[in-house]
Amino acid sequence: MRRFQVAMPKSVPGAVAASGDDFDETKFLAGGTDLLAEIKDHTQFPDVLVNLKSIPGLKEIKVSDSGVEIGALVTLSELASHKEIKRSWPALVEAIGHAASPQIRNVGTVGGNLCQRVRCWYYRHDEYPCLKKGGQICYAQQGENEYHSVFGNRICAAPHPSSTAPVLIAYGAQVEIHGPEGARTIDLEDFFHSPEDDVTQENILTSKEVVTKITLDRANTSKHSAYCEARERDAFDWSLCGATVNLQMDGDSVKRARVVLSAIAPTPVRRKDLEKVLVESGVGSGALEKIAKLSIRGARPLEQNEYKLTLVKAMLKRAILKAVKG
Amino acid sequence: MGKTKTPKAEAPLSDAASEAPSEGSTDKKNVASDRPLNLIGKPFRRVDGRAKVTGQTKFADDLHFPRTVHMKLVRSTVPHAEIVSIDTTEAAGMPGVLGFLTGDDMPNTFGILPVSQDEHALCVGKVRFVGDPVVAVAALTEDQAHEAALKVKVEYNDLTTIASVEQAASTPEPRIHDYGDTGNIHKQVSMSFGDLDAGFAEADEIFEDIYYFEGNTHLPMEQHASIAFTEDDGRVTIYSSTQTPHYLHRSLAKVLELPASRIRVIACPNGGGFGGKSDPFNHEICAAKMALKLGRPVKIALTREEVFYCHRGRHPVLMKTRTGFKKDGRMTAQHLQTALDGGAYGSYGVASTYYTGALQTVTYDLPKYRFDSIRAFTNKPPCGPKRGHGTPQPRAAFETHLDKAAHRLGIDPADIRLNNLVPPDSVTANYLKVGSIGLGDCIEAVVKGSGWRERYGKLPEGRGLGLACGSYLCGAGLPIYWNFMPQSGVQIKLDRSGGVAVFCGETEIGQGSDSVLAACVAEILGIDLQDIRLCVADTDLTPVDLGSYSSRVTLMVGNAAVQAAERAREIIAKAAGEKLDVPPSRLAFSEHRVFDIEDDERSMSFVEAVQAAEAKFGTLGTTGSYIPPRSPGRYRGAGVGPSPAYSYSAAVVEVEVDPQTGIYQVEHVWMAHDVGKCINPALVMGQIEGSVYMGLGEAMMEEQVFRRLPKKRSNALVHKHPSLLEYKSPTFHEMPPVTSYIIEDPDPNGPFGAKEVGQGPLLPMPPAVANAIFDAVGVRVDQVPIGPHHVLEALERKAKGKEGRVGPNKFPDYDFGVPLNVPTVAEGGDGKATNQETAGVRKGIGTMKDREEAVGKGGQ
Amino acid sequence: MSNTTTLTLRINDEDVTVAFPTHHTLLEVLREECRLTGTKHGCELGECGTCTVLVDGKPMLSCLVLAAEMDGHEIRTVEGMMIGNTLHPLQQAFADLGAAQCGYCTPGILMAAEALLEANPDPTREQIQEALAGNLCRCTGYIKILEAVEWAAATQRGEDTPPAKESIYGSPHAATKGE
Repeated sequence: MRRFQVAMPKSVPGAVAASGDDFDETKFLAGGTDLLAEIKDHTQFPDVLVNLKSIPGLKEIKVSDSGVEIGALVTLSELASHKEIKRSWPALVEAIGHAASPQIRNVGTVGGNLCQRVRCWYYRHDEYPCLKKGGQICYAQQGENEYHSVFGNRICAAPHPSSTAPVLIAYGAQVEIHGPEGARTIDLEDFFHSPEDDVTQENILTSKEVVTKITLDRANTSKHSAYCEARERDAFDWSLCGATVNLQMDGDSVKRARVVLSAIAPTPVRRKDLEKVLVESGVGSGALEKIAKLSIRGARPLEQNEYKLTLVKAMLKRAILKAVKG
Repeated sequence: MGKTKTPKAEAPLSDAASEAPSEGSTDKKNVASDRPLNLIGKPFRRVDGRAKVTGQTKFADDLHFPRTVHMKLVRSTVPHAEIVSIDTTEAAGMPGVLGFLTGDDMPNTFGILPVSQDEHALCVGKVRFVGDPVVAVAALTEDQAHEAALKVKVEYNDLTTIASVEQAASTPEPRIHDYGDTGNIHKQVSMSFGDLDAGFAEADEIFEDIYYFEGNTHLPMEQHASIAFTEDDGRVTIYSSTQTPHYLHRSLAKVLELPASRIRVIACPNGGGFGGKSDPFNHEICAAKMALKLGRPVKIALTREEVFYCHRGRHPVLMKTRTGFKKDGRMTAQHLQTALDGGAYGSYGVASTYYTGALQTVTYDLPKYRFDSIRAFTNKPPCGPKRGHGTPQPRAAFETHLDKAAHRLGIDPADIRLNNLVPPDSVTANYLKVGSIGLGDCIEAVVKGSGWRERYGKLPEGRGLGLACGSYLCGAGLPIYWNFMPQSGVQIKLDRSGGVAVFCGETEIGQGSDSVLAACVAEILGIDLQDIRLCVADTDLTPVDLGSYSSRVTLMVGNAAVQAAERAREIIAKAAGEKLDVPPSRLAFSEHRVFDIEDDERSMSFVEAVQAAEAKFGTLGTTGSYIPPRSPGRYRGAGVGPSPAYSYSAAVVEVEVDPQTGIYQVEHVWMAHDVGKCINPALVMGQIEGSVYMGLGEAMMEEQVFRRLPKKRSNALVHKHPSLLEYKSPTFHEMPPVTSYIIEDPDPNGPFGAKEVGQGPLLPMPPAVANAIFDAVGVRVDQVPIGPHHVLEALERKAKGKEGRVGPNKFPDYDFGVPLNVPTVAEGGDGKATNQETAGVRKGIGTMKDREEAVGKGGQ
Repeated sequence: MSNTTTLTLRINDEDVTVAFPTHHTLLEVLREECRLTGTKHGCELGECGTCTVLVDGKPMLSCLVLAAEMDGHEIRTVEGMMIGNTLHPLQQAFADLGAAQCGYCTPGILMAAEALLEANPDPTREQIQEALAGNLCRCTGYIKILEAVEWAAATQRGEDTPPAKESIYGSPHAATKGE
């Protein structure tokens, strides 16, 4: 592995102060399961890693009447085994489910899961100077693209790999971000940005900004929430397609709905159009078919990934039915 | 300082685990010639078990010697190019850098087969695939070697990339190699056994199917590693993760231009091999050369990505099978055509080519058989032998073909197989001598176990059963290079301590070969495994064994060990008989004692008996060796396929298919394997389960494939996913429950009747999965691996009223020339071809002289 | 900040003071500086589980954690498993059943299994599968490993429930001798 130094700040402002002006200079180190692999793969070249684990207080889960605050350094295992999370935000536990591997989940953090880089095999190989690495081309467009995006893929076709992000968005999560100007809180939905905004980064963070906390409000959860995904193997793999549905039900009718698709676009995709149909038409078989049909409108499958459209429809229907069942 | 180890079963197996079937135990009254077995057939802790669970086993990368330096290889980034220049100036100035090697330092070629000595330790003049090594760099630390390797500049002049068999066939120039049968076709084979036309004329129905088996790789958990150092004057030693220390030894002698007697190769236990460490490798030779250059120990440990470039894995093979059937399902003739994508070097490829046809005849009776094949050179990592070497591909084609034929003829797939079984002790159309065959018992066991008769074809939509069979060699009948020496040798040293040292060149790759070796000796001498010390896989100290490949070790090493041990027993018996005043023939060896079988009061301990022998004869030592029986085939190419014995397997697989997504789960596997006789049933079970697993991986997900970039961007043809993450293999979650049946049909050629188990049970898995998917949802995926999207595509095609099938539709139109004609035994043939001189395979572009010589002698 | 870090690591209940390059992983420091080569590597990218060790009792990939972060943590490796000269029940079961074939993935799997049995002395087969899903094995087909963990768990609970006869001799069938 390429040589680097490690800074051990004791506070969040200390971490921000230790960070550099661009990503080649410093990177924040959380679990490290993605970052260290990237350095070994020669896709990241930081001179200094700013270790967030040396900062006290970022590993706590604080439960209150209004909701829960999850420190960014809480590991995926800790989150998935937390009693209150299991009770009130079950789809999150489902999404963490088989992510990566048990050992990775013991180390990988929720903040890191949101900030992980894409898994595109062109991005991950140092021989390919793709758009994300400042190059001129997205190799996946005419290359091997069976796992790539079917939506929003005109510039960069790498799908966002996080399985917690779509569920957190469906639960209306907010993220706290610290930077040189202090802290701010935004909706997680606004955290990710598309290749059109900046193809080299998947989110709005600058090299001097760090996610410190994720907040979930009880008002936005429901027992009628579910995450369904298709994958090729149940460990060491990423979802091929995920669908998260969070419904506020009143009897058979849907009062409010949140629908987020994942692993099929460069960001998690909230589908307000589908939410509208759910509220207007309910969850009967006719509505489901309508939603399934609508779900793939605007898709642009590449040469090898048209099958993902079938998966989008199937996973969406399954998630809705599972959510309704509660 | 030989690599010695102490086989030490410190704790006996639990009572239940050693509760053997009634035969055996320690009845002292049996005569020596038909003696009961003490150890063989019962579960015992493998002799290397303790070291492996404590972390004490030293794999190659675990070794460290003072002043060790580290080496990295600079590998080609382009698939096919001339090397214009190599510039190491900047790299030489990097911290810690000690030296470089390039192709010019090692001009001699090497390769596993005498007929394809086409590799250089570092490329000379041109590169042939992305990953081909060009420069070796040594530095004080691994990090420094790596940083320096990144600074080596190699300038290339791109040549046309040959990406496929079709392209190789249609693009004779530029040639990837300047030898081979024609253009970029490395090897071309055509042979006909018996009057094929007459066979097809007898048929009521003729069916034809085309099938594709994608390439895949071994993926051993251990990355290849080697450490080499010089000693004394002009000697070099290398420890390496290799399955074939003997062949590495030969290659080192050739490339380093040193007498073999001054080179010592020690194979460390392999952290998994599966065929992937059976070739002599460039990195091994470079390590030895660098050690000779620097005078310091040189270590190289490959990265996982580099392991994908070493490859030598399963050849991608396209196959056309055409078979004539009688209405009752009996086969009258088969014409098989195969096309192998060989990658950039020969490796075992010529043998692999023959193997895609050779073993089609040993399961079901094929009275007439024709086999045509081509192997192409392409600009990819070289293919070679992987578990089943060349046979899983045609086996998958055959077993799915047979499943379809059964449906078309209205015969149960189990019955069509049972009705066609090759009889025991027979000679096949292509002159393979089949001894024992437990295939019928295998089929009956899985049919009964799975409830086949009640459930096949009757399960609800989405659920299905599939059946398939297979067979494999117990060692190749001929050595890789032509010679008349033993294929396996064992040496035993005994002394007054009562300890027995066993020396053998065999290589432990996880399959349990150390345990087989120790058990055979312990059984014959009536002693415990703990009394045996093994010294294995060391070319300085151990007699030659050709290596751990072609499932040869249990049979060949076992037979050599039995012979050496019997000779030792004879010597000890002479001395003990004198002391006890009993004829030696009346003595038995059991439980550490030597006793009179007619009066077991007359006895002495094994230690006393050895002391008597040492006193009488002086220093004690014996040897044993094994040479396989000669096979009846006398035609060119008859060298591939013969084996002292064949193992057999049958499997039933149950799947659940989700018709909405095409995603399927394998719910259960029933596997029966005819192992002849278990040496250690616990390890036999482990081999069966491991084979089921690897076969499932190949059926469901594993593929070694390549991506090509748009021409205008680059000419690159690179590995699609050289990582453990993206090269998908089954995890704990994907492995279904397996019900295994051990069938014991002892073979007279096997030690104690034993046959192989390490490779055979893999073979039925891919076709059994495909056949089960058909039973579940009525579609055929005629290719491996079967991804969910293939199932979905076939279902969608079926829903649109088209043929519910996904798979290749065309076999390349290739002129195989006049086949070698070999009349069968039934036709009065004597194993020779009638047209040996005129069979039209070679038009002679660059045909290698030594190949002609080798084939002329009946080799490959 | 420095290119070299000196730390006292707590490994298998012993303090070991080592100096190592700051960017080196725990895997590298265990194998190279501490010469504890029982911990193996299969990819060094977090993709196989071979290098699993326990950090504060939890299975982690030593190839993806920095040794520099290990101050104050308890590290356990396969070398720390034996009890005196006696094999740990897991080691014994793995050795006797042939759950270690080539033995290369074995140390990592033993570590993951030890953590599981520490947390759950009586796991179901599904729970074992889930706990070991982060470890690839190419030899065994995983079955002997599952059986060995079940056997060791029983032994640790003081029960005498060795694997079923079918696990060792195969299932009975018509051609079985004596039936």
